[in-house]
Amino acid sequence: MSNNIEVRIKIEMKPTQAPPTHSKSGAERTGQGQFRIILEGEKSLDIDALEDGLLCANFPALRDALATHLEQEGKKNRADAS
Amino acid sequence: MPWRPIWSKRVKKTEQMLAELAEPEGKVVRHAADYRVDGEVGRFRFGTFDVENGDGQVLFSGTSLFPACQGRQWYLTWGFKELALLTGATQCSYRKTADSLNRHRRQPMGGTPINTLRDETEAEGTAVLAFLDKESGRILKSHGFSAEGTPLPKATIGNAAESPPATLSREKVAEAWRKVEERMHEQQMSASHIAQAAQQQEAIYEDPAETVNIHVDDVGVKEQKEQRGTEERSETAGTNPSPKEDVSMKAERKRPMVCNTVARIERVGKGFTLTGRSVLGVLRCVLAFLLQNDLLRQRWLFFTDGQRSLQNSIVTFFTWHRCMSLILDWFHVGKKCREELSLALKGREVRNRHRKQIVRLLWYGLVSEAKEYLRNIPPEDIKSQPSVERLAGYFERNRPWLPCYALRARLGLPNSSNPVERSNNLVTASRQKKNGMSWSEPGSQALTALTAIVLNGHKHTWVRRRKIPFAFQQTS
Repeated sequence: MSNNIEVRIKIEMKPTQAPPTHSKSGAERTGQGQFRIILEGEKSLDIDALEDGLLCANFPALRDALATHLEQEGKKNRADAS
Repeated sequence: MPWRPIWSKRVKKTEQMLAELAEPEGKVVRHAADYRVDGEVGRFRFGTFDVENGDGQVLFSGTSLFPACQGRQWYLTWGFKELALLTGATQCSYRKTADSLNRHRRQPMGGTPINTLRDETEAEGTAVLAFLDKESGRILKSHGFSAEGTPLPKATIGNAAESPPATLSREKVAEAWRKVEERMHEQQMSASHIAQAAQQQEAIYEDPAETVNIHVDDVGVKEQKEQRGTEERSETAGTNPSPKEDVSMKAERKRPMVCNTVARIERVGKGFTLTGRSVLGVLRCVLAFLLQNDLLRQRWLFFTDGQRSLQNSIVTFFTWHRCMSLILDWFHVGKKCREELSLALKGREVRNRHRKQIVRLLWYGLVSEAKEYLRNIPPEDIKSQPSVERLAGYFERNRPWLPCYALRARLGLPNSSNPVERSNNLVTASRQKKNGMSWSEPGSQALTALTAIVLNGHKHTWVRRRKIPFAFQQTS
């Protein structure tokens, strides 16, 4: 029987000293399936900016996770077949 | 100026709250109602915290950190407004928009309800109309005009001594005329008609580089009834009206319409669409737009479909402008001839024969000759003399606005109010004129105003800055 797939996601919002991300460059890839975007400190209560920031970081992470998963599964299936 | 200075104020308020917390008597309590947000990520709520003193008096309200919302109101994020109100509801029905929105946000339960979406769209559109009205008033005032759009003594509207906007050269007009003349010969028009049409060379033919074309039109959609009436059905219940009676009853009970006025302002390769509740309101915005873009010294050419009240309003409103004129849309001239001659003459063959001649005369700007032709139609061809008189009256009334269309076309100048017809379709008809649809006045006008923002490419600016720049958008 094949294994089930657990989808786990954790979004962190924490203070940082890093400089804000340029609005046009979008989320920055920091590792496998990890993306980050840094917003200006003064936007800590700005609902619109926070929502936009979360969505900007969220979608690349989703795409990356999906692409990585499919690639690995494809590789595994091919290996099984051969 | 930063876009959202309000947020830095709110950070200061947080600091104030912390100071309050430092007070020994201050007590932090959860606010009775949650703060509600409807965003691109979905609908959610969160608690806010107030600081109270020992007597239960609120020293600091947590909700003051966020945009003020009344009662059960949800705060709509920028993303939501762009997605649901400006991109969604202006293109699709509220039902489809709400379904698609809640589907994308994975919130089939507890997502945005249809009625809420409709009310929010209406409120947003009303805010757009209020902004246009206020902004127009501000621009008019700053240029020395009254709030109604009349120039005050201090207004600099130019004088007769100043050189008027450029026109096309005599040589260019004469060259175009030679081609028009050739065509008239081909069509075997009489020498007197050609001679008469030749006088049209003396008219003013604007230089497109120094002209603003302003197309104005009304677009109506069916008005929603207050209640779904059963009276009409019960009145006619049991009786079976004859087809003739049925037609007259329908004419008497003509469905009331909600009117939207649309103006399309165009210059070479650039355009802007304005919408409003009334003709005068839109003309006021048009004037403000022209003043804002420093186009006072240009030639203003208005194009209309011949609606009398519209023409009168334009002429009266801009009477003070020295280089303003009006042109009747060629398509509507032909349409009017076809409609009136159908009523006036006996049979299709007779109508088409006479119509062809009349339309040809009008194409060359021969209004008197067209009237003369009408007078000389043999009585045996006429079914209704009043219709003939009505058409003659139409020609006479519009004489100043009927140019030599042939020569204008040859010069590459516009003869049509097509840009506003297209805008009407884009901002109102394509969304609101569909089978079984009916609208409330504020609902239709608000939706039209929002669609115009999308069409002008100012969606982003409106949502974020609550401003609509009175600036042309590149069209080609």
